[in-house]
Amino acid sequence: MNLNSKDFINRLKERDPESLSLIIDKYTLSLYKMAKKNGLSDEQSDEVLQSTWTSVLENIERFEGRSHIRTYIFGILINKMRELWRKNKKFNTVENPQDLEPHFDSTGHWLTAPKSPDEIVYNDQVGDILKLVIDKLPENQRLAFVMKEIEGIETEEICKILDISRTNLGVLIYRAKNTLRLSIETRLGEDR
Amino acid sequence: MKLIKNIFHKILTLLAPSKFRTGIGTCEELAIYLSNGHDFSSYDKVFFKAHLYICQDCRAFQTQIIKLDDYKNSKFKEILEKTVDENKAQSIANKIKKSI
Repeated sequence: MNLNSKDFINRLKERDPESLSLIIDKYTLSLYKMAKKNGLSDEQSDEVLQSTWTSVLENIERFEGRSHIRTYIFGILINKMRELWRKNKKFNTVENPQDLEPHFDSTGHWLTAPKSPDEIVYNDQVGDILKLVIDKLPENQRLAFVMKEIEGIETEEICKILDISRTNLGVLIYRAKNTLRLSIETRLGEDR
Repeated sequence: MKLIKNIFHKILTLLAPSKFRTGIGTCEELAIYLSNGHDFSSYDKVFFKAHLYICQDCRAFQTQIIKLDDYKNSKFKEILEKTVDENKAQSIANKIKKSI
């Protein structure tokens, strides 16, 4: 069934239980994965998912069908996660101080050259380092990284969900990856 | 050889015609490109490859990003998937459906 067809959207707006059950079955697991991969606990994921679906069900009449229904639902989930993070002050909404430090000189050359990858051996520690560092990324970088790099969501859809341009998304992904790369380089370098 | 390439890079970025200089981009532009991959035109790709050939630092960055991507696509995804309890998601879905 085409979940983006006019007919299906109309049935959703009319609160047809079968159509609503269909989208709940189809997207709850993806939403739950997104919440968990963004560092939410089981209880928080449960809370965020319930409030996301409540919001979707309450406001479905207002959905205009300009984006895919999945984009609409994920957009609500992201807003709910942001609300929770702000309430718990878990993540900085501003960039990490590390990101504000320049990595390049005025002519665009590296200030501190990346180490030769031969010096860095990926081992079991890397997973722990990544989890720890992703937790500390500013929320937009984290969301962009998880959606694009881990969930594999299309660039255009992420831009719509986060309401940013392709260029901004590119910069967010670069910053997230550069922070992860630097952390791995530093921490694995310390052990050598 | 590394040193010669680095000097060559500096000379090219300072003395080369502005069109070529703009074309090969700065290390910062290339870092954004390498982190994102495929959103650039073939024209950009040719120049960026030229930059990569002469810039040791960007090549080190590229290899680190490739390693990071490989790890993220295989092992790290597995680690994250383990934290997801599909039964829990199903029970949330059932709870929501009851409220319709």
